[in-house]
Amino acid sequence: MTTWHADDTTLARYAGGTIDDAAAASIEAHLIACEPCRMAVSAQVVPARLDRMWAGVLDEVDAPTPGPIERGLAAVGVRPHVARLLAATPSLRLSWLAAQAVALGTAVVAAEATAGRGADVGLFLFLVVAALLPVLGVAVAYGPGSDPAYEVGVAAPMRGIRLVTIRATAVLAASAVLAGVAAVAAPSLGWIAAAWLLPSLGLTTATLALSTAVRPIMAAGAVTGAWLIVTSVTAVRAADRLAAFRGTAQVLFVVLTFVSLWVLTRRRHTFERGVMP
Amino acid sequence: MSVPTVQVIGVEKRFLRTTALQGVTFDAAAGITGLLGPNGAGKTTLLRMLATVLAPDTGELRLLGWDPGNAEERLAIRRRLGYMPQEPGFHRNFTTFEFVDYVAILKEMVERRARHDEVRRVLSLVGLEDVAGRKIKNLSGGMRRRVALAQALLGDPDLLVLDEPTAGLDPAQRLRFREIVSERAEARTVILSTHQTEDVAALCPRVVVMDEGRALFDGTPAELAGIASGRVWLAAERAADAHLSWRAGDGRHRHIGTAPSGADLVEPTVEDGYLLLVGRRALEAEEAA
Repeated sequence: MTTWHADDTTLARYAGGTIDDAAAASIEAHLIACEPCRMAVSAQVVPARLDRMWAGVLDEVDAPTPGPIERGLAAVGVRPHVARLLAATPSLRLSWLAAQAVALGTAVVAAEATAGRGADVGLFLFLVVAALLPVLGVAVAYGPGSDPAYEVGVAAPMRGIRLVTIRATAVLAASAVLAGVAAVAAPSLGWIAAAWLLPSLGLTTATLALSTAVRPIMAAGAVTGAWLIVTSVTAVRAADRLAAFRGTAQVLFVVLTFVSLWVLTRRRHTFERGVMP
Repeated sequence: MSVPTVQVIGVEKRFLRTTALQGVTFDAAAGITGLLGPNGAGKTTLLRMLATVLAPDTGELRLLGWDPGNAEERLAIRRRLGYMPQEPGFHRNFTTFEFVDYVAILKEMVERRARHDEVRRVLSLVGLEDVAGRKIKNLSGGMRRRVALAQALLGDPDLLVLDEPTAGLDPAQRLRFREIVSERAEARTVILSTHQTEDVAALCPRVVVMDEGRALFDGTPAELAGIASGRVWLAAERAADAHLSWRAGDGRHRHIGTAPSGADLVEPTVEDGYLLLVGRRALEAEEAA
């Protein structure tokens, strides 16, 4: 049985949360064994503070454990509420990322198989696919038909352009990581394995810019079609099969990126209203 | 009527060759206003405008005193708006809690604990706190409607726009819905659409009947029923010249229109007034749906 008791001032500081950690630990240990002090401290606890603490405990216990996408995003420093917005992005689901990885893996195998034989068909295929995957990802990241809660989102105060930008950036980053890993897995490709980056940026921003006039899926379809035609024609007609990925073309994709961003900025208000489902 | 919080003035909307709304005009104030009409009447198009999702081609809208055509004012409206679409979509891999939390983030509730408290509050309101951790894809259709209602109630909005909120609910769920909405409507504006006259009779002090993109009637449910006053009859046989006629549960035929021989005049209901107003097209639309 305990023979000493905490004085009222100490108990008041403990109850008010103003005591230091070491003293608080000592008081807690004493309270377990001392009923008179427990009675004394309970009279000094401010109910509002107790409610706040209980709400905090409840929140920690009740809040659902985030899924793998949200945990992964949190691990790289993404704030929890942004991670939740991204977890609702169809093209950031594990199944979509796995499909991307398979497509890139196939392209890498083809590139490796033809590397060093004077034929660069495999490399060409890898670059075309790597540039295109973010376009498709961005197309299904937002909008009617791909975002099930699209209509609720349009009526919410968060700006449509902000949600689009957050999701498009995340999709681009995820695609870049996957394509980067694929390029590293095929060292024989050399620096040109990164030549899809600027075309991809140009095509993705062009898709977003077109999405201000038509549905994202239609915009992506148009951009994809144009990309396949341009790369196929240059591959057949130009002396260099990879002409669409060389210096001059890279400059054009930078220009396309800036023009598309300008259009997107000018027409960002179109994301604030819905379309007929 | 008290100060209108919703003003719809001569609103028109076309989609390609289809005219969805043709000069609709009405006001609504605090309380519940029901939009009643057959499928294809234009209710959903009008509600999407009231939810700031669609803009009218012509005409004017004022919501909570603001113009939704102005970007800043539209943002102010959205901060005080709750919207339940006719076919609310869900991220099916989210749990109930995660989905409502996701919408709360879209509603600018960034601070985690306050947001989670609000999510718990609305889930409790619709009686879904026990399935907060369950995946939405594993919920019944009725429970999903309640999830949709819960997200609309986030932030205790001043304007609640509900499109066919009772569709797919069983009688007990419908009763619970009426309790929730009528409690909210005491100081707020609720606009809901339905094609079920029981909802209007049970919930709405005010009803606007729509058909083919027009507002045909604007008044109380009693006034809507009154349209059919002196024109509803019960008779043993079906009358060939009745405006509408069907066999009721007691085996007698209920007629709306002129009196068949030997018929008894009866008190009209809201449904009688609605059917007299909208006519056979309502029945055809119901059968087609």
